[in-house]
Amino acid sequence: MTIPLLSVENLHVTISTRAGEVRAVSGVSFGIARGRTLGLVGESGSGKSMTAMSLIGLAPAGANITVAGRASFDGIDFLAQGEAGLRQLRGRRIGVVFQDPAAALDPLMSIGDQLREALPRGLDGPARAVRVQRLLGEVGLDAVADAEHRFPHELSGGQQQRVVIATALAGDPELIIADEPTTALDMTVQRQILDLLDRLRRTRDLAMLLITHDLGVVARQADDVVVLRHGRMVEAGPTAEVLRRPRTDYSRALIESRPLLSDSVALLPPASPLLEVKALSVSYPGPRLFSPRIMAVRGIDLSVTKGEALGILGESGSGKSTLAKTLVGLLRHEAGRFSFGAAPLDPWRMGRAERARIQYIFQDSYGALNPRMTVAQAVGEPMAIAGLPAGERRKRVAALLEEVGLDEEHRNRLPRELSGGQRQRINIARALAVSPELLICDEIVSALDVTIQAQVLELLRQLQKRRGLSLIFISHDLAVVAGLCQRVVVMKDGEAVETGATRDVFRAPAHAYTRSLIEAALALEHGLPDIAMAMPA
Amino acid sequence: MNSRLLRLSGSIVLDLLRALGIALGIVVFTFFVIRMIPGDVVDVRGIEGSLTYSQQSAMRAELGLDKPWLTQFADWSLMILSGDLGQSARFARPIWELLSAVLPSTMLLGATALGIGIVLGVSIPVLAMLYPRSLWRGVVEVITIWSITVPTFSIGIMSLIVFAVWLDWIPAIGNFFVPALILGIDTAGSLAKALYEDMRENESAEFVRAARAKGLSRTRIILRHILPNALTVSIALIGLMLAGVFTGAITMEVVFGLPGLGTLTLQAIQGRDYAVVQAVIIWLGFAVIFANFVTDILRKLVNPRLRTT
Repeated sequence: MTIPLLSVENLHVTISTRAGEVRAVSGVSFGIARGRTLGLVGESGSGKSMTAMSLIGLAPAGANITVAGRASFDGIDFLAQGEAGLRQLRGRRIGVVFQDPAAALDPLMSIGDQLREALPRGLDGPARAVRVQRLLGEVGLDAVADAEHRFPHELSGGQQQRVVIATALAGDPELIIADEPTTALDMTVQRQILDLLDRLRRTRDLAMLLITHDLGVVARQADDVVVLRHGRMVEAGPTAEVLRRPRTDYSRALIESRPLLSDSVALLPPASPLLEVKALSVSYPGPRLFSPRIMAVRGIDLSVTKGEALGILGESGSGKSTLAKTLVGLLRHEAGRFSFGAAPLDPWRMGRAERARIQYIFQDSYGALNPRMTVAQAVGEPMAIAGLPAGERRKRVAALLEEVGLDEEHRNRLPRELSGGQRQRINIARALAVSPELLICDEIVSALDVTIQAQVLELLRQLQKRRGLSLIFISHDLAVVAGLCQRVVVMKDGEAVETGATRDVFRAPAHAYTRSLIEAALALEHGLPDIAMAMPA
Repeated sequence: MNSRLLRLSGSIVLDLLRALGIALGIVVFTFFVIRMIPGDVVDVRGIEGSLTYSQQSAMRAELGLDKPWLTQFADWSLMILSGDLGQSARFARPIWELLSAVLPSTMLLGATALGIGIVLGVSIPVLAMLYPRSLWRGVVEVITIWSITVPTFSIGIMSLIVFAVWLDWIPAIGNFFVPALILGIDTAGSLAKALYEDMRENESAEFVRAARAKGLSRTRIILRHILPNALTVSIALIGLMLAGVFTGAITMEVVFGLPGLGTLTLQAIQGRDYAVVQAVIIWLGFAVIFANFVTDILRKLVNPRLRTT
């Protein structure tokens, strides 16, 4: 057994707040040797980022934290270092890759400048130029014309993450801390970034601490894994062993609630469509006064029958959200014909009664709720608008809360007093308040932890059955769509490249783009146990 | 955010047209409102006792003041469009001559005040960021409250009493530095406060954490990352400051007895010298349009996202 480069023993992190002390991390221990990857896995609030970031003094600004235990890096005691000592380690010996590359890069600084300021001190101009070029080559950006002089907004998300990785490497570190490095990226890009990190680990003999909520990423990438929950270690050991034979119920739940591409839903018997859309096009004004309009959706046809879930699958920028917003009249369509329950419909000019039949649920469960309105007020508001008397409203709110799996005690809570999963349930309850026939769900489970995600998806399935509700479910996650939607539309650059029964599309994709999506998703699942790697026959 | 900013930059032409429209509106408005004030230039001269009734009628006819307002407006517009600002009825000199005599001193006062305002408005919040537990934090608050609550003319008169009358440090008439300083501090306040708050907000941005992860020093992070990002927002204030400084300069000139646009405007209004007032308004309109234009260019210089075509 090699000596670990980073070793952490019985780490405790306490956050002092006005309300008292919060134990964010309690008794976490692990070690990483050079050339190895350790996965730190957990759901939001499990303390996984806090564990890593508190060591190097990068805990979120404003948090007043105390760290106790033992943590050493190549013989250096972390906990004995002040900010100055930690600063010597950061960048030079320990590099960090952040979750959201668009936020981690300074928008006003060129890529070259951002790399140069991360280089070791004392290099002269020509040496720095050589280094910058070498770094860009190492992360695969040498093919991008003049990458050095570009600004972050002139790069794609994947390219931005490559720049962040290059800045992490600039000081020739021995340890890389990667905090959810692929979560903010499209699935096809995720795999490329993971491959890059793995290649760098090998070529540079790096120790890598990989923080993630995604077991697929861990399975693919990590030699060892530590599972955290509520700041405690639930499980630790070699990845293959932990994933194949989880010793605790929690690890098992984490593994089992992960939606799989092999999931599938039976088709409904053919019926006349509830909503039918023909040749829908939507455009935005161009960036300048006389520039042409940007076509966000080009000539899309779709239909959904009663009780059916239609998946709209696409990566960022594919136009899926634009499509969804147009269906509820939040955006104006340029061309297209709509019919709802056989009657023609113009979403842009819907009256209140028509609007009640189609409801929308947003991805950002917190942003979609007024922070000063209680649960009962939020859910009751649509009814109040419809003119329902207060007593009746009270009863209906109680019934709706029960229907989405919440109870009376949540009635008077404010959004910030609820978890992400609970907030999304409130949003669903509010949408149901006007008894709609069609729910449009825009990435509503993307921000949720896997176990919570599974629960919300189950709720949607029940609502479909119980109320005969139709769903248009927008997602970038193939596995989630596979487990919920009977039919799917795959979108790319505003066009529908493929439409059909989800099972057929996933089993035998006709379009090259769909195929690349499926390959990327499979690659991320690879290594997880209990998966029949072949698609269902 | 990004596309919104892009569209913003793309609509400079539209902004410019809008600003011109506003300027035109102001010109028309002033043209008619000033004529609603009782008495015209001829009455003023009559009160001063230098003209007989028939001389007054002759003068009105010569100046065109006996025609309907709309006709006067049409005549005046044609004259302006041909590039001629006209004659001052009171001083019997071309307005261009009057303006070019006073504009340099007003512009110097305004520019000095703006310079002081920008230097103070940027350096004080930066010092407050660099030394978080020092007095500078308090200085940000004091200068902000000062600039909101203390009117420039009152502090101008007070400083005349203190520095000119009691202490005899400055001359009571024609001092340049004190009014420039007063105006500078007055405009610095809003910039200092906005910039400080923007910097505090940027301090918790992810790219600042990323900069710390590179091992950069706090000073470098503040100067290279936090300050420029905060400036992208606060810089819009500099355009407002520019407009404020020139209107403020007019008051300061009157208080400190400086020759300039302010003194000229005051005399013109008192003497009902319509054409002069109108010319001054046109000039101010163009100054504000120019200020907006400069601000737009400054914003593009700081923010590469606005430069992309």
